[in-house]
Amino acid sequence: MRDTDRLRADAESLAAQLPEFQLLERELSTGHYGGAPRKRAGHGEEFWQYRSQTPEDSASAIDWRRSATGDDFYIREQELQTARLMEIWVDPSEGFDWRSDENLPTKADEARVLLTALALRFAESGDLAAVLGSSKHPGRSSQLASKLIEDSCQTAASSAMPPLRNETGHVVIASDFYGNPEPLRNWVRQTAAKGCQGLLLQVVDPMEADFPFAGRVRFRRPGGALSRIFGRTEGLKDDYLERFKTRQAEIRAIAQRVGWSFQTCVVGEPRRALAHKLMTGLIHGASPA
Amino acid sequence: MSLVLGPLLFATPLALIALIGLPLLWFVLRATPPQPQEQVLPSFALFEDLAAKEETPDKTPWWIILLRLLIATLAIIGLATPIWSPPKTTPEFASTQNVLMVIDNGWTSAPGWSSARRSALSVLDGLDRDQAVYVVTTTGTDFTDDLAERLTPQTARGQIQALRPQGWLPDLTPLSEALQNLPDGQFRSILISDGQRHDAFDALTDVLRDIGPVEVIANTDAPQIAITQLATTAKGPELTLIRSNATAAQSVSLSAFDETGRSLASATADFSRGDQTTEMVFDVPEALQADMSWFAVNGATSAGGIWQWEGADRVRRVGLLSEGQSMQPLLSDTYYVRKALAPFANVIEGSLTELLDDELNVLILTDVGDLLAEDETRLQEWIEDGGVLVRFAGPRLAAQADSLLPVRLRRSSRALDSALSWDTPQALTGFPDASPFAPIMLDPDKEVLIRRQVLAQPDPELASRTWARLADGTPLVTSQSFGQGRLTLFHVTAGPDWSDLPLSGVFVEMLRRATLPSRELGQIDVQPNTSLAPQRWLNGFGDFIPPAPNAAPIQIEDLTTLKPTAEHPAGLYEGSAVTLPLNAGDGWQPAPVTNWPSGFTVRTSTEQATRKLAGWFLGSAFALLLADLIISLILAGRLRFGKAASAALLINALALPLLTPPSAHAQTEADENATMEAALNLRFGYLVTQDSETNRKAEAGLLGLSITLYRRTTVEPETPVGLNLTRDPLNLYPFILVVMPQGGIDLEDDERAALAQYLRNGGALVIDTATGGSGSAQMASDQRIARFLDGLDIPQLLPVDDDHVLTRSFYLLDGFNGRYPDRPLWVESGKATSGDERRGDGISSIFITDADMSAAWASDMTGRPLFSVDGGQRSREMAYRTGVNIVMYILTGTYKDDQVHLPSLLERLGEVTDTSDRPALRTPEEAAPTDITPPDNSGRNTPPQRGDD
Repeated sequence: MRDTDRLRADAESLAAQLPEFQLLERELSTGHYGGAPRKRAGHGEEFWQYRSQTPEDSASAIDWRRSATGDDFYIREQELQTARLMEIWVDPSEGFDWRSDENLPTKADEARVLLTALALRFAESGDLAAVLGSSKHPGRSSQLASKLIEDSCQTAASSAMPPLRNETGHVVIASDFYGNPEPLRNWVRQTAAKGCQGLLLQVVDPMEADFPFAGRVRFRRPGGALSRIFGRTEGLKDDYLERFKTRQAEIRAIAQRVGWSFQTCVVGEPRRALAHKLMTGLIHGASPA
Repeated sequence: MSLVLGPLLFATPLALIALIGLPLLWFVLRATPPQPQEQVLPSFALFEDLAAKEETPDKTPWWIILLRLLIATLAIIGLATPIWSPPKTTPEFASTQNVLMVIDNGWTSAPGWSSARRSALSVLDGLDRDQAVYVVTTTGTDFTDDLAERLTPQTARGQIQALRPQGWLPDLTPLSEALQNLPDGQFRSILISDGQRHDAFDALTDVLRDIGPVEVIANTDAPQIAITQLATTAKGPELTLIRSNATAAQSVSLSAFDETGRSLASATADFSRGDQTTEMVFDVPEALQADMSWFAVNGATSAGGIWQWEGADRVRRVGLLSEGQSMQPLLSDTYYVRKALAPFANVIEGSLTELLDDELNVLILTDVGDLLAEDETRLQEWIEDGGVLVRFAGPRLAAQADSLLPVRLRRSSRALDSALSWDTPQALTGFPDASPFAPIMLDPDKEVLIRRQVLAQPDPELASRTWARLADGTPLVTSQSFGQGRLTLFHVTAGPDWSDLPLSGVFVEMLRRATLPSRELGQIDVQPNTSLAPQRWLNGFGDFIPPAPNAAPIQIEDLTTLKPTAEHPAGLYEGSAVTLPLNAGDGWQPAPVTNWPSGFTVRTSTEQATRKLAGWFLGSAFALLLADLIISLILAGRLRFGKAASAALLINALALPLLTPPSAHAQTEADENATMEAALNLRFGYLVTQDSETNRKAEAGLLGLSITLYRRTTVEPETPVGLNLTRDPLNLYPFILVVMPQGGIDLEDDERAALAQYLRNGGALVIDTATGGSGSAQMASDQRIARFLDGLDIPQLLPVDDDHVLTRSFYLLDGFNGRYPDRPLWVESGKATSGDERRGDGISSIFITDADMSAAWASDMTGRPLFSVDGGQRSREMAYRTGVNIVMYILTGTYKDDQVHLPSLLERLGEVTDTSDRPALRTPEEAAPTDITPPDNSGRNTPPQRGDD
């Protein structure tokens, strides 16, 4: 059984190392009412400032108690509080939940830790996070980490990507993207059309990135029945790496077309630096290609 | 059927047919490609459709096939049992010839037995399978079966392997006679000799020469060593050794064993160059001698190297009553007795009571007339238990005799050569046949004259009790067995007053026999044709074996002249009253055969060796098979050197003896790191003991103290370290805390030496017995400390008094606290050691307390205390202050012993009113400690100072 506690602890400690994280700049206008203070006047529960009355303000807006202390009329303003929802998705396919070495985490676990840490940091500033396709109510409770990990483990293994929640502002997709890219392309296009920001994270195993084989090898996909013997795999390496890069470029193109960002991650790399990159990717979107 | 190819000979050549199959193997191997490596890979999805550019060739590389063929070839050749036998040493046998093997297997062949057997077997290797072989041994007596049985080389091999050297020397006469009736046929003889010329050797060689060509394999490179004689001396048993090869100096070691085979003593005998014999004495205590049962030459591996020692040769413990005999020592009777006993017995002198308490075999009384009734009873019981009492007559005995005599005496002595006598002194003429003195030879030229004696009353049994008579028939020595013991009376004095006997050599012999234990004189009392049944035998190798069930007993008359034979091998023989050994090496003289009769082909056994090569072939085939396995794994990609630990493991396993153990390497590296750490920062160490609880306490204590020091002083120690006295560099630590566990600490010698070195170099020991109050605990702790400090050269210790620097090295202290408040702290008395100070300024290097300070100091990393302390937080604070003071004292010495505090102290005492010079004397740093507020919450805002109360 998967050690969810371990994953949660990893994610929490990673989140603790990340800087504060607010997706403020571009998406404010599509905000929903929520708990995250936005450091400007607007709808919210906390006091923001008193300002002098302007002719546009109705008389009912005047704060009489404050105004009674002087000659001027004052308007009491609250701080704007909004909430954004971030959804994460970890590829449930069998090939993603795989590792080449007992000492490494599986690609899916690595993705869970990274995305959960990201979501935790995100939710810390008052926003919400959930797992894409999960029926549970998005939250920002103290149980968020375990909730996210558990939900991401229970994602149904279906070929189609689940639909987005209406209020979602950000979506982070982690996969190895070895499958057919066409459904992904469509899904991304539709999602981005809703005004959603996104990040595609490709997690690969070191063995997949390096292809360290030689001699006669019979290859098989996890869960797949098809197998094939290659004679001199050292000669295969160049072809393989070329295909690997092509696929990466393809996914990157999908992301960039809609202004999303794309990151790759090899399992075993330092997570903190990677999480930083993911954060900046989420904040700034795709770097112009 | 065997096949000879040059120097190689194949015992089972049919196996070579399998070589025909090799080409077939070639095709099979070519057709079977190696198994591919299995790999699961998710990204296989990316190239599922990729056409393989270079398919592996469907065949194994040619050199692998070659390797495997080589393996198969080696295995087949190995199975064909090849034997290396250079043709020049292989005797040429026509297959029609019968082979007669004569094998020496007396005990002299035992040292070289393995090579003799190898020679015999290698002769058999060269024979045809159905050639007739007759095997006879030289130790046999009846050869009809051997000569009737026509063996094949295979069956002869089994028989030769079952042969063992025997525990006697061969007599070749019966063999020579038997060989004259050989079956018909052409014969060729092989004589496997141990190189010794045994009895009737010439007869055998004559017979062999008549039979046919003779080949001799002489086994001369295994020299024999035998024990030929044992003599008892007062020092101990003296052994005579003989060896067959006298060319070089040699020293052999001998061991003595008791009845159960336990080794009691060992000694060395040295042969000098050119000497065949040597003597050596086992100089061991008598008590050990009494237990000695047999001697063995270590490494001799033959029956001749064993000497069984039983019965009569034993050293006797003889008691000699010596009361009131010291007036004229050289004329006293006991002097003559002592001299006569000296060569073979240990003489113990003393009063009768002393002697009877001492476990003796023999007691000698010279001219003791009448014994106390009580002594007489004891003496009688002692004799009945097996003691031998020998008495000498004399004026007192003649006047007044007690009952402990073999015969009744007349009340007067007979004087033969006196003024009132016509008789001339009588000579000792001989001994009755039944007497144990009978073998003693009298020198006719030196007559032993008896001038005076006590006379026995006539008695029907007198004759049978008489052991020696004078010329006129009067008894001189009478004896009677008495219970299990024996009572013997010499009818003359032990001195020369009455006779010449004590001056003659006969006296020594007579005493020797008279002092024999009663049971060993059994042959006199029992019927003369008693037989001795074998109790155990020696085989040729010198191992004790049980005697054969149908072994014949020895008649007692034969025993003295008997040599070990096939009928009576060397061993131990036991009769109803006598136990006597038959030793193989008794009187043996080596007689090497120097020139063999003409016509004999002589070779030494070393030339003969054939060597079986099957093991080598099969072994190398197996080794190559392993290599092939590894190569296959590498080719299949299972074994990659860059990554796979298994490869490294395999190589490690192969080269294990060549590599140093990696753990040791890691160990030294870790040690170096620890040394570096310790050298870079100030750290405190504690002695790691067997008791883990104590270790934890010591570590936590030092940690708490370190934290306190860090917070309050400029001493900023790192985390404490557990020290192993022998491994760690002690000199880097300013002091070592020793918390005594309940059971104390037992230091090894090297640990003690390291600790002593550390103290000499200026280290300090803080010993905490942690026992606290009560008196009995105090005592126990003292013993533990004494045990711990034993050998460490500790000067005199004193409890710290009020004036000691320790009371003011940082804080001003009234007493020393730990978990128990106000306990004494013992340090070196500085004055006493001022002469040879180890640390500068006479600073103590030893601190002993029982206050359990480490418990009071103990804290975890966050500074939370771990143990409760009597008196609560305030006591703990005082314990910390004690610790700080000790550390300060260790680090700064008597720095505070000067006048620094004098003004303030005087001021507190109210004796100095002018405080104007105070600031000048106190630097701010020094002032700080006494001024700071203790961080405790005891409500007390000034540190404790003397005179406060």
